[in-house]
Amino acid sequence: MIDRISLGNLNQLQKINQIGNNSESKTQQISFSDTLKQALDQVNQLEKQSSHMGELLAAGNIDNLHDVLIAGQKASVAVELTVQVRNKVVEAYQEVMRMQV
Amino acid sequence: MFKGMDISGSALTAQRLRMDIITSNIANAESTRAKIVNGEIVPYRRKLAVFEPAKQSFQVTLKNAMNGQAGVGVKVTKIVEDQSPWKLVYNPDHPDAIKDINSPQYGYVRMPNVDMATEMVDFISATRAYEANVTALNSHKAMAMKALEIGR
Amino acid sequence: MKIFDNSSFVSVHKALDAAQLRQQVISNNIANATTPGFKKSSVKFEEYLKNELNNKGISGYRTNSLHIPIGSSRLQDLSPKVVVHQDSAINNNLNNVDIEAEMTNLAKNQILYDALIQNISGKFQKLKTVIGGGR
Repeated sequence: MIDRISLGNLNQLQKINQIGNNSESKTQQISFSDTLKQALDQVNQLEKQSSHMGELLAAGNIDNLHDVLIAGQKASVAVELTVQVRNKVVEAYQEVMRMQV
Repeated sequence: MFKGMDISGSALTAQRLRMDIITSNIANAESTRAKIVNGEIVPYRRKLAVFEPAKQSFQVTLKNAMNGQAGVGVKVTKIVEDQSPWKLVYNPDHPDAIKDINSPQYGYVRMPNVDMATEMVDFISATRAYEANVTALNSHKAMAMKALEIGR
Repeated sequence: MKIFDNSSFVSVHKALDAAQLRQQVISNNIANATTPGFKKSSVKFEEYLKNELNNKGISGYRTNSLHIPIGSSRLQDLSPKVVVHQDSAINNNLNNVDIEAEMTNLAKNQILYDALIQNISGKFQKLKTVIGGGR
């Protein structure tokens, strides 16, 4: 009888385990480094586009002057955002390292 | 990038040429011996400028084919002579008066077909068009300068 | 980057493109104000933008973003159109450019362009202020 009770519990435990496993397999495992890499790629993209606009401007191939300036501002804002985020992360790391254990 | 300024610039050139032609007409309003045609001396004929929209290159046309094109301004394609008849002024003592007694125009001098009133009206019209295009050019410049202030 | 993809940013940028094109079209009309047989053109954009922002248009569903859009489409695909006015009132030499109207449109368009530039400039300033932490 004891065996049957423990078996019943075991089955329930297994069911809960399976549910847990299913939900884990549905959520994607995105690591922090992937997110960081994506963000840096986007910033790089904006910067390349701004440089390209600058080349076109120098060669005289631009139709709309405001396109060049808007691309430049977008790249500038993106780079500044990245730098500030980096500063904050470094600051947070240093804060953590300063903690007395 | 400076396409708008090029358009206004082409119009300024065309109107300036038109003004030059008008002043030439006014200056020559009394020239009875302008050139020799078929061995005969003929008076000055009034000149006109023919305006046409300027043509753009095929590449630009193709590029703008989907959304329509802005056009590239105006050009004077040719200068033609007005073929309306000479003005006849009775002046038998003039060296160029018609000396053929049998002609119904005996004693008349053929004067250039330049009418002062028409020329002055054309001149004013050309001046007004010139000023309008200068305003358009200034507005282009102001827009470009304003665009340079993004983010400042 | 997603901070630059919101509808306000994209529509102001596109309106700037349309205003620049309109300035060229109006200049061309003024330049050809005395050319015989010339028909004036104008730029249509604001109606398309209004329809898109109010979601009034019917648009075809595309399975691939490279397909040509049908009807009104996403904000990204809007572009200004130049239309030629073939049937306005004309004067003796078949030219239908009304120079006073064109000069008025020139002034209006310039002011519109300036206002849009101010708007976009302000957006960038705000982003920079926020990123800088208000210091």
